[in-house]
Amino acid sequence: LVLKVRLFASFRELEGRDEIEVDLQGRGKITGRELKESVSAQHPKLAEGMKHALIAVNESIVQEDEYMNEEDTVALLPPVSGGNC
Amino acid sequence: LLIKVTADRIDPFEAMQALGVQGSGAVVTFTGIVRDTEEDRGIRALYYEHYPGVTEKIIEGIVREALKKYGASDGMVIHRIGTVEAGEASVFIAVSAERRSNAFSACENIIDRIKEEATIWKKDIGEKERWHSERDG
Repeated sequence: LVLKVRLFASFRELEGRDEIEVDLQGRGKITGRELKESVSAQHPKLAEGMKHALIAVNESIVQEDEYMNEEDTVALLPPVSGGNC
Repeated sequence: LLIKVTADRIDPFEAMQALGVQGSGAVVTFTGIVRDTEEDRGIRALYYEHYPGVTEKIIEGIVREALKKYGASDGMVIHRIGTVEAGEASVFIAVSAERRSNAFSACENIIDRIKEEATIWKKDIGEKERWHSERDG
């Protein structure tokens, strides 16, 4: 079972592509927290950013205890706070 | 209610024509401009990237809540993405209300929340290229 995860901004540049695959290692569904742990282990360039990353499932930002499976549209988002004006 | 995320240059005067002003006594607008410095470093432009579909939904929710909370009539938000040169507008907000205090409050609430919640990321283009999320995170 493999979950496809979209990447944006600094995450996309770190990884050099806009989507990664995360091996669910036999689990049918995982929580957001488990997603971050799996991404850190399987895609080490993204590990540092996982602490502050936001998770979107089916185009809504969710808490880390939310479950997701390979049918879902999942994205990892860098923090969005800040600005120049 | 108009929410637009676009690569095109923003023309505030043209955009305002779409704002509903019937029964309103005030229109407050906010234009965010790309500054040419960031922490003493020169900035030539900001590069904006966003999550299409999600950004628009988040901003629409913010505007609807602000209109309700502050009793304002109509609102619009236009946000640019891609490369925005220093001195150009990156975001334009307009709010109409019966009274000016309602319009000012709603407009300020909308820009504050967009900066905190909308799925838009900025990268400095200039002396040093850096995503703002790298510093903030």
